[in-house]
Amino acid sequence: MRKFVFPGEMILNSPTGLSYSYIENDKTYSKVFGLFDESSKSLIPLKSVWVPHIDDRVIGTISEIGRNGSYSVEINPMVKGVLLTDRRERQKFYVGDVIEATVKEIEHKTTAILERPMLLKDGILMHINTAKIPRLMGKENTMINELTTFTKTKIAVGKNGYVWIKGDNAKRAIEAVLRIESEAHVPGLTDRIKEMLENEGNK
Amino acid sequence: MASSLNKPKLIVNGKRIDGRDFNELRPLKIEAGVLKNADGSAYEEWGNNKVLAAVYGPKEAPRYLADPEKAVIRAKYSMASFSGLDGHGRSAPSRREVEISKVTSDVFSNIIEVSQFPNSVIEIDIEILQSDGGTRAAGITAASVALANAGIPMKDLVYAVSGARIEDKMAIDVNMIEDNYSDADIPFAISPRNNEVLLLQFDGGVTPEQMKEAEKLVLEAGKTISKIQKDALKKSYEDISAKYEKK
Repeated sequence: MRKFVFPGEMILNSPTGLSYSYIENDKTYSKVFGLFDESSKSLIPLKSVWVPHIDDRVIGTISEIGRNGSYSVEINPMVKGVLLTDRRERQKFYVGDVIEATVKEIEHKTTAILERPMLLKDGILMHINTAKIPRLMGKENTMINELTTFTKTKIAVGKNGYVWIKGDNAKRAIEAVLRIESEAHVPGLTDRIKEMLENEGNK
Repeated sequence: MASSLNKPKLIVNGKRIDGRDFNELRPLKIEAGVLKNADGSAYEEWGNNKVLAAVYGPKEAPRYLADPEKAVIRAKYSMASFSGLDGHGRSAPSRREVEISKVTSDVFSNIIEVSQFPNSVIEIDIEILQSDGGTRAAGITAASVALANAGIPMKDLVYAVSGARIEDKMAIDVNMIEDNYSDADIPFAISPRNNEVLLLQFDGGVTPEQMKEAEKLVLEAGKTISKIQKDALKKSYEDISAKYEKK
């Protein structure tokens, strides 16, 4: 049974190292407004602030080109993305290009060094609540795979909340993504999205 | 405090000037997530006060402000020029606005998990659209909902309300007339999980017993305020759930 919890609400009578919670006087309190499942002891925020972790796949826009072959990448208002390339290499990206890359290192919690960049050409870039990214991916990427198969679009998802969509059916894919974002907290999401995609496909 | 020469009668037939009991709050209504372009927001109507609160961030702090240990909380309280108080919002921030912005920033610096976001800034904008006394408390109460709506991790959902002494009676949540002519005005901001006081300002005179009574009234009324704050946060999510439960 899931219930709403609020910042400062005691969720467990014992000290437990849950994410999005803190311990005070041997009790566990929530730090966020979210949903708490007592049986599985999981606390899921309904909205969250993205903090970079190593190996996070992110999407960003090239904002500046350095002299030594480095690029500044806009990935988040708080975290600066930096992409280093070999200076002998030919210039790969231009200002305004959208790329997908992996976080290799984090400096001072505010700079993310990126690696393995991939250019995302054309397409549509949108941003959603980062707390809903795991739901958009689904267990073992099932949700996102279903989305791409049904709408025949290419979709890239960044942990930092950016979603890039390309294809003739982009509009349908965007609708599905927005629906996942707004309805992720209601049980039965996978079935509803499947139904929505199947019904529209028959039209 | 305003001149006592033409002081209106604040207690009429054992009730307050607007007909309320001494421990009675004005009607309070909060709506969360009203601004799409802000990371979190809340609109609040508290009596005749109308307040809009918006939260932006955490985002990269300007160099002169950045703290490598923690996030800087920058609250900005301002009164719209049409908010009803003469001379407010017509020029640069007034002394009063600067003061309230500072105390509001301090309240939230103590409650937000600032150490999680070094070198960043969290901006809280509080705009008073219409004022009728107790706006700093109304601003803090609304900002707290906006912060939770933005998903910013914090230790508690703070509320604020003012206590007051009207003649020999202790009261809460003063309106404009009471604010101007009461004998003491004491805004409180409280962290409800342990009733820690995060803001206590004081204008006027009370005895220690009266102060204790004011605190008691504030904590009692706080239960109502906290509930309204939580209901506001839940509302949009419950609406979507309800749509599917009906089917």
